[in-house]
Amino acid sequence: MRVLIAEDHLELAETLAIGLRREGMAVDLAGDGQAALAQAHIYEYDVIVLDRDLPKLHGDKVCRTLADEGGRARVLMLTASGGIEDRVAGLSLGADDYLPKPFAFAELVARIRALSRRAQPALPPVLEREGLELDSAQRIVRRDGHRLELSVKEFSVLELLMAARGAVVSPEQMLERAWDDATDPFTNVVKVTVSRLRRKLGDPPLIETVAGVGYRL
Amino acid sequence: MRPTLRFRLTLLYGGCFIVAGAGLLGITYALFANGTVQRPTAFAHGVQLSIPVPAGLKAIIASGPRKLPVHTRLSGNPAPKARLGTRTRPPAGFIQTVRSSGQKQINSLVKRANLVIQEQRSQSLTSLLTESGIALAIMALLSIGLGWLLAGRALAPLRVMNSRARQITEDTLHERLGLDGRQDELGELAATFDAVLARLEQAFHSQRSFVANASHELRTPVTLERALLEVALADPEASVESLRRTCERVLAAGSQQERVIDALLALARGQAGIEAAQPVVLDELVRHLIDDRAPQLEGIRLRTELAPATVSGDPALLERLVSNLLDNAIVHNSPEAPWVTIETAVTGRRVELRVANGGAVVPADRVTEMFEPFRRLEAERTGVDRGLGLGLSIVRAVAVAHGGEAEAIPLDAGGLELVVRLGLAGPGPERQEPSLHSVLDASTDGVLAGPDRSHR
Repeated sequence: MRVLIAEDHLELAETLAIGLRREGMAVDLAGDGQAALAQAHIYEYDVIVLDRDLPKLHGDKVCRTLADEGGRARVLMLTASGGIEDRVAGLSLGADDYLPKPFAFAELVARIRALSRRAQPALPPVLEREGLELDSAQRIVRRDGHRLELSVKEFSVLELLMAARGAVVSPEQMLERAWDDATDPFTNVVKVTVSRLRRKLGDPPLIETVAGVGYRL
Repeated sequence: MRPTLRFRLTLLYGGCFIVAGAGLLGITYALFANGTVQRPTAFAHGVQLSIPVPAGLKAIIASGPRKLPVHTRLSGNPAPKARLGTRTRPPAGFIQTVRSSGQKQINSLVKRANLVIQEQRSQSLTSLLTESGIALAIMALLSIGLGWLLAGRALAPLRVMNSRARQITEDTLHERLGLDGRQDELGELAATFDAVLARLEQAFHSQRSFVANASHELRTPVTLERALLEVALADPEASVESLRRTCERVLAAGSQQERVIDALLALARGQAGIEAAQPVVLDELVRHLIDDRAPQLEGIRLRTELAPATVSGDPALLERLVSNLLDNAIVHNSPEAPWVTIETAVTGRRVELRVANGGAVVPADRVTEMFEPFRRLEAERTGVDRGLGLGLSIVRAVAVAHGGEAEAIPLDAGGLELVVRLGLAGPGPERQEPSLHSVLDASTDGVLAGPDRSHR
């Protein structure tokens, strides 16, 4: 899952990024409205956490632009104005969810997860395929009832493969969805992670390599 | 019935009309009764008896030889003027010649005739009065009715204004009475009322945005603290070290919060005015605060011209004012060759404090909005050390509370000069030790938590 945090308060943004990365998300930061829009156009995010009071380009305008363009990213608006009118206004601008500050971190995580499930096509909270059971909220994977210990990135890659429902996922897509923009795009970290994942999944092998294209479950 | 303006106006118009009408009638009656009109009398001349009768009345007087039954059937034409001694022929139908025997009969006839004429006259006067009275009554009713209608029409705009104004609440202050096109007094009234509404809307808007901004500023550190603590607690690899670091960061966020609260309270106090005025030696206060900032002033070319100046006011608020000006000048300076000039002077009944600093050129239209609360330059919103944007609004509030004003003048070569004029120049340049002590006391009782790092 890839998340963009658009928040001009740097310390808060970094703290949230640390927490969200621990939850298995790839997190990018943007410090103002223009940077946020630019990032959203470059990468495909699952969820964009948008503060309303952004410099250079107001969060409301960013939200409106994103809503008009369509795109898969769901927008969660954050702001210190928590009154009813503000919430209504924010949601009317095209935000998918609204969380007033101050908020509980656990609630932020839960809402982000809920929003990312709604990216097309809508996904159930627990993915099941080929005897695998993946619970994204609890970060637990089971194969035929046995629990598997996966690293954060392995979990994310498996989640992508399962969400694809048998479609092929290219390494570029994996890089985009499960890693943040601090990653070197020419790395072979995807390959390494997939091979580690294969080892952990065990026999019979579930991940199939489609030559020149990608992987599929 | 409620004494409405419409009712009173109608009464007034109707009453005036009735009075005028009655006056007209009275004058006419009086003139008629008292004789610019010829008073007809009967008189005898020679054998003939002239009996003038009023127009429109027929008079036939007949008399017999013995008795003098006078049948009075009156008919006639306008009375011709008869002159004694002449033999005039009375016009037809005027009188019938009266043959009678003696002067006495003639005299009694004349008397009778005069009586009849009198009676006629009084009858016609009475009928004049009655008929005029009826006419007056009818016209009075008509005029009252008309007056009521016209008063209603004239006052209609007032009713419209009233009903529109009733509907304006604090949520609909953008509405206006909108009585366009009227040039008269009512139009003026509506325009004035609209102007008041505009000012009210502006005030409400300022207050609302202030409250929104203030709550935003207060919530931001709380959000950060919460996020820091929750993320730290959720860390599966939390160590004493990481938790300790988190605690320190939470404390730092807490002191940011304190600064916000402090600044907001200072603004509120500045706006509330001075409670107990004391003499404050301004130049000493400035020197003292400059010394406090010696480390920040390193590398800045500083020039001071501090003429002795004493104001009467609140020491804590004045310290706040000077601190904010100094901090602004230090922070918003040019990075290559920063300079600051500070002057205090007494001009007439006012004390002037000028703080000028170098830096980028400030556009003239930014100058007024600088003093508004929570107004910052765009560039400073990112970054850890964020100003609050309250510094200059506090400066202005304190200046106004001291009977003065604050002004910002952009400098052509770049930079800004801030001029604060305070009224109530104190009694002369004597050094008053107690005032300096009271300033120091005020700064250590916790109300002021260090220099306010607020930006414009």
